[in-house]
Amino acid sequence: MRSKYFQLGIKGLVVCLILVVATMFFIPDCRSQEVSSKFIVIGVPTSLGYPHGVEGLEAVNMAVEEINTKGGVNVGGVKHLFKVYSIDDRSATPGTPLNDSIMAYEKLILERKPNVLMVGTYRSEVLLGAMDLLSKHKTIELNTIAMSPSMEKRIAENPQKYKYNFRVTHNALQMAASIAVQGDAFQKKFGFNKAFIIHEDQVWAKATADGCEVMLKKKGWEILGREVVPTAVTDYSGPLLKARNSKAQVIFTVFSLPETAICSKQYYEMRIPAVYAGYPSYIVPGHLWKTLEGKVAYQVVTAGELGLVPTKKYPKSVEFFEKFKKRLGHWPDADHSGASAYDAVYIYKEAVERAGSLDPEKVIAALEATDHMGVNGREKFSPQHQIIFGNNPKETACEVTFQWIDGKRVVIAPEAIAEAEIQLPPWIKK
Amino acid sequence: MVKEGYRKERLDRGIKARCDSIFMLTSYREILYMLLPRVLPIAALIIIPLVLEVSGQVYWQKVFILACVISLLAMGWDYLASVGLVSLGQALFFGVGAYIAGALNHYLKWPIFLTIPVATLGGALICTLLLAPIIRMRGIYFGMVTLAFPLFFNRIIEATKLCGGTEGLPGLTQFPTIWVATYLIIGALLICLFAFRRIIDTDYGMVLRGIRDNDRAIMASGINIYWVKVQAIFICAAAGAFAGAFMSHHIGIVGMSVFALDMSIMPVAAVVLGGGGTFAGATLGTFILVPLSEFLRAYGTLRIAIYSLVMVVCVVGLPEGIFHYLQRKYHQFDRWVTVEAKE
Amino acid sequence: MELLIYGLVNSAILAVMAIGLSLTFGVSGIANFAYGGFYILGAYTCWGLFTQLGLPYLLSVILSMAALAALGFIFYWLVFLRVRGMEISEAIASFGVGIAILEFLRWWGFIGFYYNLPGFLKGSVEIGGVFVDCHRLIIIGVALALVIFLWLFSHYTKIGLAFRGVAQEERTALSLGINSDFTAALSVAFGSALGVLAAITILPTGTILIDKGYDALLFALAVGLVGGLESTLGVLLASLILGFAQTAVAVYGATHWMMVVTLGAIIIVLAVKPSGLFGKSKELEERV
Repeated sequence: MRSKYFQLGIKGLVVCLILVVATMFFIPDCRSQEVSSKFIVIGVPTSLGYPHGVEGLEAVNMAVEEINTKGGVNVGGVKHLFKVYSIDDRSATPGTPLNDSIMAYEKLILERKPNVLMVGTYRSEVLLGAMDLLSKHKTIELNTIAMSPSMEKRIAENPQKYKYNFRVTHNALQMAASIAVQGDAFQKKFGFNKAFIIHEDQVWAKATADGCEVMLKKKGWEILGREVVPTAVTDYSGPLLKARNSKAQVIFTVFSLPETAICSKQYYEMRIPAVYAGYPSYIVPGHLWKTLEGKVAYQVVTAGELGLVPTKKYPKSVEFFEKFKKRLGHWPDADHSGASAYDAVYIYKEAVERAGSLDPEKVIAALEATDHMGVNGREKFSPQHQIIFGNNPKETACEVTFQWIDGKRVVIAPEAIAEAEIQLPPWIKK
Repeated sequence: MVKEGYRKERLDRGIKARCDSIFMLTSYREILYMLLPRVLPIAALIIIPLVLEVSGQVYWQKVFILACVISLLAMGWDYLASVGLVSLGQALFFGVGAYIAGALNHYLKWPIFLTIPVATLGGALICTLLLAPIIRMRGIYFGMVTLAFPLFFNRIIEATKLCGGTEGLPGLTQFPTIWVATYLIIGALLICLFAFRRIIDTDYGMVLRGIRDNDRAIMASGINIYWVKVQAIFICAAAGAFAGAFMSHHIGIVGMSVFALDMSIMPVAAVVLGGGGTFAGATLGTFILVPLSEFLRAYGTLRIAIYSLVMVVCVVGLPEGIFHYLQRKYHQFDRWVTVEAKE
Repeated sequence: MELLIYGLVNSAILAVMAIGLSLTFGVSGIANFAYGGFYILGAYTCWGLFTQLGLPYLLSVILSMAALAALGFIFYWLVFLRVRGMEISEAIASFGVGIAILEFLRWWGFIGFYYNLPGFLKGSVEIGGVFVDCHRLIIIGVALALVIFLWLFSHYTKIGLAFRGVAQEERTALSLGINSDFTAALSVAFGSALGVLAAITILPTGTILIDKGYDALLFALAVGLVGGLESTLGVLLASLILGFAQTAVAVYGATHWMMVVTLGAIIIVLAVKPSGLFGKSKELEERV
């Protein structure tokens, strides 16, 4: 009678499962009771299984610990401490339903009553959907991951309703502008003017590629073709072949998913006679040379944040990077969100202190007047709540362009912080 | 569990026998016995949102609504399964309904009370037309095609940028208050639940179950089984499309992810857990699984792993499902009787 | 030329993916939907043995195949045996196990490109003006070898014949002295091992990614369904058709449509000829 014991076992298993679930039910609830008025609650709704989310959260924690050990935030004469709660919105996992991610936001807002949300979702779809939610609950959000400029468009259309959203990192258009700056470097040094664009299929990537195309065309580039790669594809030979056949001199890529590192590898193996450039953000991390066995050599990358590709010309970035790397215990994996999440905490702290209150309306007014020297440069918000980017960290926030040479990330643009000049891969004959 | 030399005997409770066959309710006990299983779920569904409101669990109201939505999908699945069609792609019905409602509201600015009925009927019609060609397939083969359909739509929208492409259609009209939404979906749920249970007990329902059990016999009786299957798909799709249309107005945005795999797996898992063929089981299953998956949110994707394991354990270990178990306990009692030695 | 070479590579990838599933689902009639989970689990096992324990590559490949074969065998006795014969329950249970494995690994944190397997050969070759890395050529070789192996195995070995016997008529097979449970368990084990082999062959072209598991299941099903499940020739032909169609679409159209082509093919083929292009034995049953 084996099946008898088997059934007993199954029933035991079911009971155990129910018990486990029941205990899980009580754990989060006990914690939520202790929110005191002396705390400022920061909510972090993001994908906790993925680098941008994890590192964003770590950076927030790091900034919060620094501030708390120094005595916290002075809100109209009363000392407040920061407190961080996070929730997994699963937006980075392909195939998570939209309502699931938005419900994660709502759960965090309703249960923890955060004063501010930071880091935020991966997916622009969720960002746009959550805007209505934030305005309903009058909760401020400082985004550091999602890059869709549709956010500013909606804020411009209805500033009163959507004033709760701010973005501390770059948006897709600013990214495109930085890619165009790369184009300048190629044009000036080698006289290139034929480009091919490959980008992944996300809202922000599309917007970046669009912006990039317009800006490059304005500068006299010829765009020979454009290719969209669906998410979760790991064979890039098709688009790369197209780029090769078009006889382009530079391939501008716009990528963010982990698997896109493969594109770099494939490009190297196929020896495509065009420079691999643009924003393949997954080859930003410092350990990538080793992981990909040097197959990223001579690839030109624009990294979103100065704090994550530090340069000695802006000491604040180096200082942050060393601290952050030590805290993580390894090279940061994400190309953005870490440094800006760190800055976001300080921006919010300063805004609250200036406002002297936690009232969202006053804090928003104070946030709009932000002028903060952060690890990414000097940070000010545009009227549409987007950090302004430029080419000199002493004037605005700044994006960095570097090239992989001999296992090192050599900063080549913008000129104010460049360490060396751009080079061509040896297999390209000029 | 097992006693040597004894076996378990199951007998109907006396009260059940009286209520079933005599058709005369002579005492409060009997009236209660008959009414309780019917009134209890209705009362529970109506009261739970109020309780959640009073206790300040605003978030759990949303979870409750989600559970109602999924349970519509699950009941649709159960209904199709009663005809022997196993769908692994409930997301198709959900997504088509969601997109029709979203597009009508976004582009044509139709109000909610028009978009939802149009999406329900239109979505059901479209899904039926899509599935009609493969209606001759049985078993796992039908399941595989339905599994592929939502993915197919997903990719088509991605490729053609139809209806906002990957960005979706944001800013849809939302329900004026959460109460309208809550009681609309509860109403739909109760209608489906009792209508489906009624249908399956009629002669027409007998034909449906007959097709599942022995389709050739039904064909031999001169009934066009394909026509009946088409009708079943229409009804299931209508329930799913309504759920989708409701959801897109509820969260105010519709995106590609309405075709996500989650929407296909959850209903199946719910029916498997609750017990198939009764619709009440499907509802019960969702009201266990959806909150469960909320509790597990803190554990990231582990929750999917856990609810798929629950599904496996139920298929393998408790094939009858919770509802059948409860039903049996309610109507029957069991006792140990000695096994007479064989000659 | 590109179309030819990369189409061939793509077809080979599909064929390799499909063979494991084809062996269990097609030949012995068990719908092992946990295939995707085993595929990725095998890849991680191999990765762990190779990079973490520092075993030689060949040994870790063999060990991980053996481990997953054992797991497949146990999986049969624990799960399939209980629901044998109920196709839907088989599918649901195994699909559940597959998802559980994949999502558990995702939760465990197996994300990122640290997790990549080395190719068998480095470097690239130029064929007719197209650069192809050697590893992709090896995939073609493996695919051919596997297809031939599967055909010989299912037609000329005792176990292979037993597999087919169980699929075609379980009771008759029983009466001829074939232990149907043992055979079926063996076929799940074989299928899992082949899945691991496929993963180890294919994944070095990229990184090990959880979502590849879902893809593997979907593509394997697509190839199996289009070609006809029990037919080796069908698998070969279907992977050629789908592989070239995908590559053609990627080269001349947009990469987007690759998946659409595959799914469209499944839907059309199943609607027109439910047992696949080359399937025969199950025709009557499925069509009514």
